[in-house]
Amino acid sequence: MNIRTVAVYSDVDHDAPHVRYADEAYAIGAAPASQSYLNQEKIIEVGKRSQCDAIHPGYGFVSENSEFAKRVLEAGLIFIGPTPDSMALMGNKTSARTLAQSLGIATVPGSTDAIDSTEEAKGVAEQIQYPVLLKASGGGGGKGMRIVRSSSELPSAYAAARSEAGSAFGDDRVYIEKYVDNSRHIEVQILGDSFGNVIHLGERECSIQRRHQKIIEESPSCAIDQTLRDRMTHAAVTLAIASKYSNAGTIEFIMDPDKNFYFLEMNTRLQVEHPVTEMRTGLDIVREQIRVAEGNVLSLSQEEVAFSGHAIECRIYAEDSFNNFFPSSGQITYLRTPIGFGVREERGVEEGSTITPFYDPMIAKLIVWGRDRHEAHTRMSIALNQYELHGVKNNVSLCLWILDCAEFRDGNFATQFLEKNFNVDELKRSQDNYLQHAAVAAAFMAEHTLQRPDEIAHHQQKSSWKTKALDFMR
Amino acid sequence: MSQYVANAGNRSYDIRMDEDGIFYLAGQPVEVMEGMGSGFVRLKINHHHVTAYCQALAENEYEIWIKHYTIYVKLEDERSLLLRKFGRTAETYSRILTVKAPMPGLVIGVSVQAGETVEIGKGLMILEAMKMENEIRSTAHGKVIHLYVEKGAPVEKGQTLLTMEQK
Repeated sequence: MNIRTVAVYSDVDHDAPHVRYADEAYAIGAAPASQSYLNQEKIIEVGKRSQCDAIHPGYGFVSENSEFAKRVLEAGLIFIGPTPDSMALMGNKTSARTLAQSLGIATVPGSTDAIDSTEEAKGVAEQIQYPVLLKASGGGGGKGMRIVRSSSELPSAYAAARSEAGSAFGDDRVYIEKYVDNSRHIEVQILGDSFGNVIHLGERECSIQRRHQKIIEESPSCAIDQTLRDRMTHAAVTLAIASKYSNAGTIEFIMDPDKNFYFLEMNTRLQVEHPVTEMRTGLDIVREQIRVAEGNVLSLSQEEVAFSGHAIECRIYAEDSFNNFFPSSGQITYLRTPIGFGVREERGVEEGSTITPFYDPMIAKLIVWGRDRHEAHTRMSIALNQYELHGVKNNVSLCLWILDCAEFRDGNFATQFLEKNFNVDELKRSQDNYLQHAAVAAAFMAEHTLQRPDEIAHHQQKSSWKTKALDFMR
Repeated sequence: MSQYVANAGNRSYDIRMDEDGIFYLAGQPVEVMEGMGSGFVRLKINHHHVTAYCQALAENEYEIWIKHYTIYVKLEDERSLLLRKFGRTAETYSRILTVKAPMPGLVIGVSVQAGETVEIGKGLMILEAMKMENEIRSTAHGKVIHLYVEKGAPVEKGQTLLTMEQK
């Protein structure tokens, strides 16, 4: 499309790759998101000042904020996303669920409104029975989310969910829904235009999660057959049409062990894992988003969507898999990433980048395509093995461990996969091949740092200037 | 010549560096060299080539980054190994002592030869610095293994002058 781009950045991101990739870049404030990436006014002001035609909100921050979409339109700019009305309708979990129910689509039992107090939370939880899940009204990504298994856990979980939601989305409202054990997370990518056309681009399975945040996504899901797939995609398209949805969006479902599926929520934006769908359909979803926002009809019909092969994505997080997924910051001192046929890597950092503690720990996405699940799976293992990242702890070894797990290989997993199968000692064994290298490297460093003066002196021995000078002085 | 026991994961490795700076892992020579940039080391073990990035956490404690792994390594050098050995057994022991130049100067005399057995207090070398002659004396009873400098050599502070095996 060759469209010129303008980026915005916070003070700590002044040297981030996206700042240099863009044709122009503007600083919008201090590191905390509330003072920069969540500052709607500032972002719109940059859009106007730089004479932008449109704003793409990305994923995260203000991307699901209908108020922001409205203000962009009021400023005379195009918002690359759905209309503020359908965003408000589908982005609000309560109204989205009410709509789904009215269309005969099953939803997970839960509160219909935001919960205002611990007492109210307790009331709802007792009504729908524990375990329950507290979730942020303002956004997803696992932030502001807590599983509560008994009433004693509720007060602290409620407080934590609200404060987390507030800092992540600028909206601290939370609601409650029934927590379905052993469920799988399956979502449908949809695309709509402003002429009422809606198509789906198939499903993605995102059941492999930690702390309610996705780690591995794939398409197609190995848990559903074509009949079930048709029912899910039909439900997704029905919901999108009913909400007059245009642009890209994702309808999320959870599926219980008996293969009943329930509408969970809609993400009214582009999603992190959209490349999985792109690899399978050959479609550039962001390009479609821009075309639709320009007022064009969708570039293809449902019949023209061609699915091919299998795609898998691993999210690369800056966190310590060996220590309870604790976020890791610091400088990336060395980075070598895999390339090759069927391998795609997207990254917001580069060698030399400093990972700050201000934002999400996701630093890269590794996506592979294969003719079938087995080929994609093998290709992903090879690619992960080639991933070299020094200076910042990361989850590459965890991804490798998951891929190597028989349950994952056999497609026999649910969202509690890690809680059930993960054992940090097993992960530790995966690095045993490199212990001897590490041991020698440490001894080498010890010798070379402690005895550096020797080294320098040895080199200087070649020059006899000093000897002569001393002789002369004597 | 230096010796280490490196503890990584739940394993221990014997590592030795000889006079020529060659490293040995469990007696087998290992190819190891400085990589590009400070903190980088390139190694070849069993035809396995890796680039490692090393961060010192404390004295003798390192975080070694290889591929996507972060491996914690704790080194025991001759001194700490000796202390450990002492604590555990009453066996006779030997240890390698490195005698280093305490200041920059010029070696104006070498009083010992390799292989010679010396007593505590025996003069090893005479180092001229600040227009004064300073005798470097042995702090241990032992045998001289190797002389790194000869008469007339200028030395820097901390430079190894000789190694000896303590008896």
